[in-house]
Amino acid sequence: MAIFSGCNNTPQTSQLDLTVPASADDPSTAPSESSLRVAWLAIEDQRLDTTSLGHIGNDAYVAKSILPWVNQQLRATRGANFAETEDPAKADLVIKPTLLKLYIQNINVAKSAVVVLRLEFLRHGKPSGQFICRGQYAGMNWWNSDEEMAGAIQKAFADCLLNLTASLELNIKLQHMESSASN
Amino acid sequence: MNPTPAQLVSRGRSFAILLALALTFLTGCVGPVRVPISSDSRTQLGKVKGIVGLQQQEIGTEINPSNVSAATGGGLIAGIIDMSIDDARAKKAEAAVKPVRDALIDYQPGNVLAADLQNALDDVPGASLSHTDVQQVIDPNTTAEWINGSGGTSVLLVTLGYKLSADFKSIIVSAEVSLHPAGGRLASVTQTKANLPPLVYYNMFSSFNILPGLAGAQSRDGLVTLWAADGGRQAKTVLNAGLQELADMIAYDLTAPSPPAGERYETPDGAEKHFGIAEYGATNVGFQGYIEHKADGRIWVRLPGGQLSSFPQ
Repeated sequence: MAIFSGCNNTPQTSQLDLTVPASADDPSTAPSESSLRVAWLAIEDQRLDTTSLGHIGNDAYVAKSILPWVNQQLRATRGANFAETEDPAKADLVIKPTLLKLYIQNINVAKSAVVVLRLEFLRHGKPSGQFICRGQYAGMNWWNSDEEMAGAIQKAFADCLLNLTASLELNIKLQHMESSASN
Repeated sequence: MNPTPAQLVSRGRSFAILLALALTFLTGCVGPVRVPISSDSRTQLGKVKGIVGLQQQEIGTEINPSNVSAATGGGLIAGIIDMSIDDARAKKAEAAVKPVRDALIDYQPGNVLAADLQNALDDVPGASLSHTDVQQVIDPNTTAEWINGSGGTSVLLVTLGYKLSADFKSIIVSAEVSLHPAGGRLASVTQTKANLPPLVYYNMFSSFNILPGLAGAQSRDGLVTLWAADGGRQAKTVLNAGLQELADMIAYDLTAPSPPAGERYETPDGAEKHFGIAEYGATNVGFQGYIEHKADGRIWVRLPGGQLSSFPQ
């Protein structure tokens, strides 16, 4: 059992490298010219500690400067009906992201990674609701390796981004319906 | 007739208790876990600050581990089957718990416990807290760094854990508590535990709390709905009660008597015995203890190692 769960008695602290994997633009989600312009405000980190990524057994995982990684992934989010704009003044929708949770943990022989963001929407400078975006990944813990843990967090983040994209698309559809009704 | 909450717990856990009792026999010769503090030492602590340390960022889950290996006498294939089943159970538990975690997204158990401790320890001579911080445990060295960096202040360190039981019917809150005198004080009576700096008190606590109004069979999804409904009202109520009880137990235990040094906590004459499983973080301990305190439908059970756990009556 110890062989498979990679347990050891000496607690270690690992610094994880959360680099964004290279991705080609997916033409199926390329925004159209009439896409909603979305601007991202600076991300806020509300975690109790901004370096801790949790514990697996006796081992601890940390990552410094995680916000640029989160920010980069958020800004890379693409949808069929929205595209990023740099200038919030020119945006149809401004999003204020807050990182609430980001951790890995073990449950028996499995590992679980979780990412939670709060996204506050602003339209024409006024609050227009919020969305709690949760991403999650659970799978067997094979080797306790840094790559395995970083991969689990990246998969959880990818799940979070999927939920985010779906929510934004829905939000935009509702907005179109509201505009059509008012016209 | 619907079973009482206590009966529900008892039925669901009977098999596990049998296993745990078997383990108890194996661990019966181990020394006490609890390091009691004398009233003399308490009065020499000087200024004491509290630190509530959290390893987790959200409510945890647990699973009932698969037991194919034990049932079949072991072997590689049985071990692989166990791991596969445990992996599947963990994935299901993590997926199922999402609505409860969403409902508790702004709930701060560390802050709740800090406030409860501040009040509960006010009446404990020598151990009332000047203030209590809430911090994330980053790695195994974190807590020692907090304590060593506290200057001339003694530190009551409370490492908190909280999770849903494997059947999702209960929330278990637990704490590992140690008291570290400020540098140089009480050097002749300090002891060591694991990687903690010298301490004059140590114990483990847990409080086991059932979903209010639970009766009859419920699916896991049904239980999740009940915990998460109305902004997680039930989950917050139960967590608040469990954290308050933890604070009360810690305050009680700081003045509770102990057997002679090195001896385990045998059931005193006339005391009521109690069998069960106590859960401290990821560690489950099967035990035969005795009831030390009974009030408001709760019992506090002293384990042979001195740990204190509370259950519904």
